[in-house]
Amino acid sequence: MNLKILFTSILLFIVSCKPSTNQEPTAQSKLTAQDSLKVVQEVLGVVDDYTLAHNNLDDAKTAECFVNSPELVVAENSELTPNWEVLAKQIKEFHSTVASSQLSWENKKVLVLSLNSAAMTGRFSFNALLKDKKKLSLSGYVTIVLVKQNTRWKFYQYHESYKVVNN
Amino acid sequence: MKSKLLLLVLSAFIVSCTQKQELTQKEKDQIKSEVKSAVDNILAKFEKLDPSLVSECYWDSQDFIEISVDGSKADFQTSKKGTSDFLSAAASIKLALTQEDYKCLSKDIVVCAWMGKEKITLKTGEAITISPLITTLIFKNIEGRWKAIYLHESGTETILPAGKK
Repeated sequence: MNLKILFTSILLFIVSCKPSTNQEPTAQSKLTAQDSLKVVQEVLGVVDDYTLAHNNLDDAKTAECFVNSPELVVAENSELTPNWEVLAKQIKEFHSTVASSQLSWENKKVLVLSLNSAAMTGRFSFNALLKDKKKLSLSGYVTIVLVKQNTRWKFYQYHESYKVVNN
Repeated sequence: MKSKLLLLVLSAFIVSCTQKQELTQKEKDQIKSEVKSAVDNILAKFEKLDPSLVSECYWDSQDFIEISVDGSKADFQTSKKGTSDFLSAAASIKLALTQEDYKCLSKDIVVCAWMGKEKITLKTGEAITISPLITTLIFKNIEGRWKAIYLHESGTETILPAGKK
C-alpha cells in the first residue's frame, strides 16, 4: 500500500515539474542547446507564417500573429499603435489599398531569451503594387519580441524602422 | 522507514514546485524597479556625455545588437566606438521621457519600451532633435547587474544648422 502511495507521489512530482507553457513569467530560465534550437525553429516558423499572411493580404492571420493584450507594444518609426484593435484596423485598411505585396527578409537572427520568450531581428524589404498603380518600396530593420502563449508564439513587442526607398 | 521515505518525496515535491512558481506581482514590481534604475542610469550617462556608458551598461557579447535611428546595425565593439565618437562630438544632450513600459519575461529578462525626445547640440553648433524617439531595450540580469543586451531606436530627426534655435 505504502509503495503505491510512494509511486503516486513520484508520478505527481514528475508531472507537476513539467515546464510551464503559458506566457506568465517564471523564475526558471535555464536552457539546453536543444531547447534553444527548438525555440529558434518555432520562432522562425511563426515569422514565416506572418510573412505569408502579409503577402497573401490576409488581414485576420496577420493580426493574429500579435498578442491581443493590453501589454502589446507596436512601434513603427516614430509612431506607437495604441492597442491590438487599432493595429488590426490599420492592417485591414492598408491591405485594402494593396494589389500585391512582397515582404522578404535578410539576416534574420533569433535571440533566445527563455523557454517561452525570444527576440528576432532582421533586415526587411517590402515591395507593394498599390491598387492606384503606384509602387511602394520600404526597407529597414524589425525587432520582434515573441512570447509563447498556450503553445502558440505571439508577437508581444514589435518595433519597425524603415526608409521609403521609392513610391 | 517507508513513512519517512514518503515524507521525503513529498517534501521534495513541495520544494521543487515552489521553485518553479510564477513570479509574484511583488517580485515583478521589484524587477521592474531595478530595470527602471538601469534605464535612468543609461539616460544620465548620455546627458553627462560619459564614455563609460556602453562598457558599463551594455552587454559585452557577440550576441549584442544595436539598431540606431539612422537605420544602422552595430555589434558591441561598433556600438562602443560609435557611442564614444558621438558623445565626444556633442556639447550637450537632453533626454525627456514621455512614456515607458516594462515587461518581465522571466526573473532575469525584461523588455522595455520608452518614448520621448532627445536634443543633441554638437560642438560645431548644429542641433539635432529626435522627437518622438522610440526605443526598445531588452535587459538581462548578468551576475546581479541589469545590462542592455539589445537596443532598437527609431524616430523623426530634425537637424538645425549652427546659429538657429
